[in-house]
Amino acid sequence: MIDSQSYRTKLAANDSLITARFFYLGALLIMIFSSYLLAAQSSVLTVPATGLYLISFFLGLNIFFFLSVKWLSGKKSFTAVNVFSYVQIAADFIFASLFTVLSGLNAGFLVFLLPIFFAGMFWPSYAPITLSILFSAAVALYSTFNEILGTVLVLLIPSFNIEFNSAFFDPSNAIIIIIILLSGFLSAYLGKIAKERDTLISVCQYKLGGDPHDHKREIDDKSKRIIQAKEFEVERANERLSTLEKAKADFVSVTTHQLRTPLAGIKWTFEMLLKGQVGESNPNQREILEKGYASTERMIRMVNEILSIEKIENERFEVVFIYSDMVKLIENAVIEFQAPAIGKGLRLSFARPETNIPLVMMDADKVRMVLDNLIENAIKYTKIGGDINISLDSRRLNSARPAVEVTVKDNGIGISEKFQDDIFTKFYRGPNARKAEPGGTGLGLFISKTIIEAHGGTIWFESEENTGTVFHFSLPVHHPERGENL
Amino acid sequence: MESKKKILIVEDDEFLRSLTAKRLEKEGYGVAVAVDGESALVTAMDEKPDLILLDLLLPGLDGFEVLGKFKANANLKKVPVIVFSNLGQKEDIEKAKLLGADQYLIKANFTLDDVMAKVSEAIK
Repeated sequence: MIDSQSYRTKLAANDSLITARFFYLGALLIMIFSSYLLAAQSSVLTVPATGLYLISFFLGLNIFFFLSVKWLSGKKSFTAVNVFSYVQIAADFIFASLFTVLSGLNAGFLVFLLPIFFAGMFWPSYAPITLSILFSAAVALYSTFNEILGTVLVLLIPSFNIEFNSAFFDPSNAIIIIIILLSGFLSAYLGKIAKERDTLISVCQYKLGGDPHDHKREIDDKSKRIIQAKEFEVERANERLSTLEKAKADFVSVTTHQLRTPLAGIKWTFEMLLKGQVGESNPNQREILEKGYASTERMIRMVNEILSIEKIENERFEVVFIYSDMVKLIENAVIEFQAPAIGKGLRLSFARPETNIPLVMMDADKVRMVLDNLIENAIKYTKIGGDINISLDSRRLNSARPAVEVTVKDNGIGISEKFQDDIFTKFYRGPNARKAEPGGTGLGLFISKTIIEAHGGTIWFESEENTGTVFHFSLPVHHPERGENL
Repeated sequence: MESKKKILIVEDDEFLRSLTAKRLEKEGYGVAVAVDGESALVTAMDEKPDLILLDLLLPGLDGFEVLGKFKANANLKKVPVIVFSNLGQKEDIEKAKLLGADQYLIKANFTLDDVMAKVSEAIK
């Protein structure tokens, strides 16, 4: 993100430097020409002819730079742009040094300021400051510097002819040193402002998705940035969603646990009263106490079921698949429910299959919950003397996707056609069910359906009011493909 | 020498605590109570109970920590602990069992009769 932005900045800065160089080289040329034309003698800018060669050479170099930057912007290489920046600034310093030698310090040092300023644009703040310190030191050792450079130049260019300022440390240099140092700091400061502005622009671009300084060049860059901005938004939204979900889960968790404490207290109170542990009660009192107790039990059930549902909805409902014995599971359930069934005068039976049933890949605890729910419902909604039959069907074992089918059949109050569509929805209870058993929560079948579907199975029923209901569910024998995400 | 067994109830809810205590006394047990984690440890050391009923949702030192401390203490680690809580998440139950709880009961799902049955089983 920021890389791309600073890539553009550097490219643009390189561009600007080249343009600026045209201008200042041009300005120097004009000054030189004018000084010759006007034959001014005390002009600060008295430059020998060699100076013209120097400037022309650098103008040529600048044209080369100009073409290079065009080529570079096509390459989109960050390293290349970096290297190019170094080359440019190095070129400027070389030019400035040579120019200083030619024209004397008073003119030359002005030219030094330019690369120092540009260094502030390209590099972090320490760069222009360091450079300005180095060059102040160089100025202080001007004559030494001058002589070395001069000697080198004389060797290279035969017609070279300069005057040496032989003073080792010229007090007037002090002013120049101060100016160089100040420009270093000024450049660092301006560079910092420019970078802050760049950051602000980046941030605005993320928010607005547009580019206020679109140079119409990096279209790819722009769309990339828009995508990144959107990604950034999505990530933030996701984070917020997770936080909210967790907050909700925690709230539900804490609330239900907090509710359970007073509910336990109430339950035990009723228990004590009903058992005569705080004195005997008369039949009227007993009746009311029993209703209170039943109501409390119902509330506790609801709290437990809300917790289950909350777990399901937050995908914290872990389903652990292991190959398990379906026949045994049903048998155990039937044994456990014999007591309440007999208590209501009902016959609860399981027709053990004759064929061999393979082990089924399932979460036995959860499937047991489904069985319990279906058997409980059958007991609740069947009148005294009724029959509840459970069977395990192996017909589907020879199909492409082998599955077992469990059936729970009763001859109870049934579900009227009008209300059949809503049976599996949360909190729904048919009106005749409500009458027969006011204590239900309407959550059992919702939970059962979720469990069966997590196994890749199906749950359905047939029913006729006052005749009876048959509930079926199927479970694939092997690893299920999840039809529906929990 | 007292022949009756002593049970320590660690429970911050006053109502539940008094109901449980009354019931335990009716069953013939001696009863000690603590209302939070720190005093639970101190009381356990003093009273040397034969069984501890421990709620997990306690102010201050949380129930799991208290359980850990009971089991880390040379004098107390043999005392059976029935975790007696309204937290019901599987992770909580497993954590309690790992820390050494003998039983885990969700208060709201059990009657006091059931609780008494569990206590007499565990205290043997």
